[in-house]
Amino acid sequence: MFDGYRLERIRVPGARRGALFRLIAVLLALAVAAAVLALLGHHPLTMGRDALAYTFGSALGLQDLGSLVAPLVMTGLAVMIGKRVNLWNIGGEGQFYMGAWAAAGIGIFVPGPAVLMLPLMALAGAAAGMAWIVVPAYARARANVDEIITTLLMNFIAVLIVGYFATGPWRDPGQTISASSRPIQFALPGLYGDLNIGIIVALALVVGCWVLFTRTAWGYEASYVGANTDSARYAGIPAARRVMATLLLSGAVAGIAGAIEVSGTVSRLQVGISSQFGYFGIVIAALAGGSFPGIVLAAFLMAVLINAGIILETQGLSLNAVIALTGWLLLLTGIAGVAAGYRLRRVHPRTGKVSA
Amino acid sequence: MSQPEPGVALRHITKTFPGVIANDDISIAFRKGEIHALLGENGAGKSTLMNILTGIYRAESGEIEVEGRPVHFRSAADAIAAGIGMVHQHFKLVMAFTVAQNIHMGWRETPLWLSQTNLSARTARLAEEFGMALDPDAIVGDLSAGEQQRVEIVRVLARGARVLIVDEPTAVLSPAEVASLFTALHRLRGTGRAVIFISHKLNEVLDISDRVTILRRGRVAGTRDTSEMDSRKLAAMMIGREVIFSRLPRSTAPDGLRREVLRLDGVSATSSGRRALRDVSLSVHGGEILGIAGVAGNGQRTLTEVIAGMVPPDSGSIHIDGQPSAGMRPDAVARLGVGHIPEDRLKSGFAGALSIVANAVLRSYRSPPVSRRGWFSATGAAAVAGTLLAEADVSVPNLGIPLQSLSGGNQQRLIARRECRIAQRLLIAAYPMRGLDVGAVERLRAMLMERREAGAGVILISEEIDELLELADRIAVMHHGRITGTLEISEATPERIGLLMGGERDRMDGARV
Amino acid sequence: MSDLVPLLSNLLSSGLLAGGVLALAGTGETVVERAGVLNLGIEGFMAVGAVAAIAAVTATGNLWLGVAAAVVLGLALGLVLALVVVLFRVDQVVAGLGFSFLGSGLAAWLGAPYAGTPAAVTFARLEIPVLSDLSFFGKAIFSLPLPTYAAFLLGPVLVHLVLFRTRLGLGICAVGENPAAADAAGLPVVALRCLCVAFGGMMAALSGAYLTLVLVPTWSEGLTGGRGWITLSLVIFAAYRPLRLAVAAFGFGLITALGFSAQVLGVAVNSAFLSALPYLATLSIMLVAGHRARRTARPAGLGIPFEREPH
Repeated sequence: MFDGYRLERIRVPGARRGALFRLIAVLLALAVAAAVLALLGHHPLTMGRDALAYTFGSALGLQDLGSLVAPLVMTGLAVMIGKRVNLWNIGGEGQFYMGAWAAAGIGIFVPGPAVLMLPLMALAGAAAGMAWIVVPAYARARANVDEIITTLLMNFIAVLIVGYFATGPWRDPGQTISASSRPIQFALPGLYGDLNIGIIVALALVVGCWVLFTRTAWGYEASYVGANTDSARYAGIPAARRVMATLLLSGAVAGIAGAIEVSGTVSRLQVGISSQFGYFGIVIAALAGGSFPGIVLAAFLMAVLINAGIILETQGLSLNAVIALTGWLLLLTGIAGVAAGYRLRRVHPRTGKVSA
Repeated sequence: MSQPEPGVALRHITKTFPGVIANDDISIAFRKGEIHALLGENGAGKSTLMNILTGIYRAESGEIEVEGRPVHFRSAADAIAAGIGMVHQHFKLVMAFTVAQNIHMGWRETPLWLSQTNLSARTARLAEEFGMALDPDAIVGDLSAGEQQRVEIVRVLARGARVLIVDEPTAVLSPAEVASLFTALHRLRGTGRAVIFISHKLNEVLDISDRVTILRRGRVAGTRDTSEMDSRKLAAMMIGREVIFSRLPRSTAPDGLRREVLRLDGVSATSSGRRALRDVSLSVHGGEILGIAGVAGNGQRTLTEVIAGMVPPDSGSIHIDGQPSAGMRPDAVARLGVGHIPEDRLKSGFAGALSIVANAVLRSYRSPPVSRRGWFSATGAAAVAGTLLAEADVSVPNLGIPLQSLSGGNQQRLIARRECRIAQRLLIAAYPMRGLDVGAVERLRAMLMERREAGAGVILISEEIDELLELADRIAVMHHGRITGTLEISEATPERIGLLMGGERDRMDGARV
Repeated sequence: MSDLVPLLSNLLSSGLLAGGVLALAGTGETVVERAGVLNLGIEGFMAVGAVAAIAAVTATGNLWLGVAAAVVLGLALGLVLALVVVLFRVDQVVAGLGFSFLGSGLAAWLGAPYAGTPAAVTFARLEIPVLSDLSFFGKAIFSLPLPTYAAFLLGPVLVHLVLFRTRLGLGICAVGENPAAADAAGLPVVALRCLCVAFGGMMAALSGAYLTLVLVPTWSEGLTGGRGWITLSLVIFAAYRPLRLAVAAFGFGLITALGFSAQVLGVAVNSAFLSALPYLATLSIMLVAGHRARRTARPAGLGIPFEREPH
């Protein structure tokens, strides 16, 4: 390439190298975003400062952040679980919606003590999330049908279903705003101010999945299936069953996220119940690079960015800008993944000797 | 006497990759009207050299001259334009295309506007011109290896190749197809073309070539007239020391262990929609190595898959140590004491992206010390992995690195050791030494012999007749899914094996083992 | 009963109009996938094209400048995608999703000022002399806007001819089936793939422009509504053949039009269900075609980055 340097392929880059490159990708993405904002006439540095000051400087800001982290951790976890068997669950958004729908259905209409009903709602959310992924999962496991497109299509259908119920049969007769349903009778216990225990549930799920995938024989089998299905079958691992179960788990986690969102933060079923959480989950999983603690870190980062987007709405930003940033971040993360596999080596001009 | 005409000359070609010098100051002159063999073991640098000659790689230093003029190839297209054409070992054909489409793709002389009839007509003309029998409208994926090779050859010749390189061309051919290939090469030599014949098979080199250059560890060990050489001298130059073809030392296993560990009776099986095994019957006893010879693709892979439990047989029975095992799942078969070193370790046997530990415990993860009641213990797994590595004589910096960071030889050693460990009764080894360096080959052979000495039965599938003659106690030959004959080692000769490989039924023996 | 004929005629016409989006994007994606690349970012390209077109038209009042804006942006973004997946060999799923979010997000964010206002100028229906007077087909087929004819006739036919009847097309198909073989035969794999991806990007952006200049014709957030993903399914369903794709696009247009007409007519079917119809239909064809046509027609090298061994 340039005189005196050569790109050399590293056979297998280590985990730390990959993480470093992803970090650089994040910084680069933010830098470019700042540049774009500046070009459009905004003041990125002041915007950033304001957003961070509000988020970390006030109790309310921290609570908002925490409320965002919970669903993001779970949707990110859902995508990552899918990746353990080498598949993309892009349907997190739809599974989230259906989880919210199922939980709301119980929460609005079924009476009972909160202590019993809330876990029931969570279970309903999990079941709905599973139901929403079962068809694409089966099609992929048995007939090799591309799961990316199928899970994604289910998202659109889920949004329509929730919209129908929220503005139709479950509509709040007293409310003039017709985009949301009747209120849910139960609320998640609070943790601190506006923050509820959703974040505890999210972290518990991360730990639980970490144990499942790294400390059980079942998890070993699932990982093997993801890495090389033929070899796994050959060793007697029932590949299709592991794939199905893993994908169902992925759907369940996203469904629980929806259930928590609807019973905690929002307490009504409404059309915008998910602010694209399912889609953000994809970039969170990509950033985490396969590590469970990484999910929490990545979700935290995304929460800060989304919160900034909401805070700065008055200054011309919007959630869409954050989505664009997410896309840009995904691209750079992808490039980082490839770049980590190369090393720049200096070639001595005369002797042709190669040195680090 | 006038100077022989220059065809292609390589002068002082050097090419390095990270950590290895693939070609070290190589100079060879290939003449027109000559079949020049390039001989060397796997890893000697033949492929790299040819990739440089065909413009795919660029040498760090040295020159190439075509017909006396220096040339610089910036891409494969440049080399093709200079008249150099290569028929690769793994055919570079588009399986979904017709013969005509394959021949015309990427060719400057292809008309801008195509139609099936006009492509067919042009292809038929070309086939006739070069004397190769081809059906222009056949789908290449449906053709036999020999026919596909003809397509490759015509494609290369059509682009005006004056230098034809054939890379290990006989690897997938039956003896009859090899004969017709050699006839074609003689004809091409007669037209004044230079033919470069790459091989690691000594007898073929002696058979077909006029001169031979031997490569060893990236350097030219020498260029000789073939008439002055014999297999012993060639082998010596290839390996660098006198190689004596002898059988490995062995003891006869104690009588108590010589019971039948594997029996197949009339087994037939289908693979990819085709009948891959037809009425196969064989028997293996503890303490012996049964070699299976035959051109790859005659049912050997399906045989291993059926025995290992990956594919259920359509008919017939399989008994492992007296137990019927047809239709059992692979892990159940493994529990009977059967290990399987698969043909394509990339497809079955390991997961490159996972760690060495994860791969090492693939056969043993269900029980202590790796897992207890469903709970997976990282330390237990590491202990098992450590033992395997020690036994396979492979050292790694740490157990957590992905398996694919090891060299091919080390990967194979590890997998082989893993399988040998569970192969109390039977070890199935499918082409285990393919593509390995000398050190890994010796290790693998030692592992096979160790199993034999321990009283297990070993099935060794190989394309190298020499290898089977050295290692096996009996040799069975497969052709088109059948066993065409079985020979005790004392009566096995390359000629008899070759005949059986070609489909001749052995007159002295039926199909039954 | 006499209402039925104009009803069907309208349906046919609406079907063609709606299908035009999918035909344009699908023709482009067919070329991309024949060359062995997956563009999962069609949705993003569509959104960008839609906003670019309406912005240009609002600013200049010239329809063709709107089209040009979409073409230029589509080509530019297509080349960037090509750089990322063909040259850098980034995972095509990650890159595609990235483009999808980036495009949709940017379009929604920067297109906000244009939301809700119909385009100042749109492509009017052409009344083809004589033929448009026919009672049934006249209204249905022979008085459609120019872009619809381009989407169904020009695009697919041209691409079919190029792919299956020219030397260039043979090269493209070779590159998609077995890039290593194509490379050994002297074909410029990287250049061909980049060309096809850029073309696909242009077509996807054009399909977005079609949305805001022909079909809707107003920009709003989420206007693309998953059409990019539907396009991907249609390409698979059509076995990577442009003429079949055009027919499939029409079929889809009909389903969308059916849903819409039913709502307008107050047919007693749940409106949410009718809106969901296209997605349900796509899902069904994925389940059916996803495992049948795939095995035989799918270019063998699809989705696998091409890499020559190190130089």
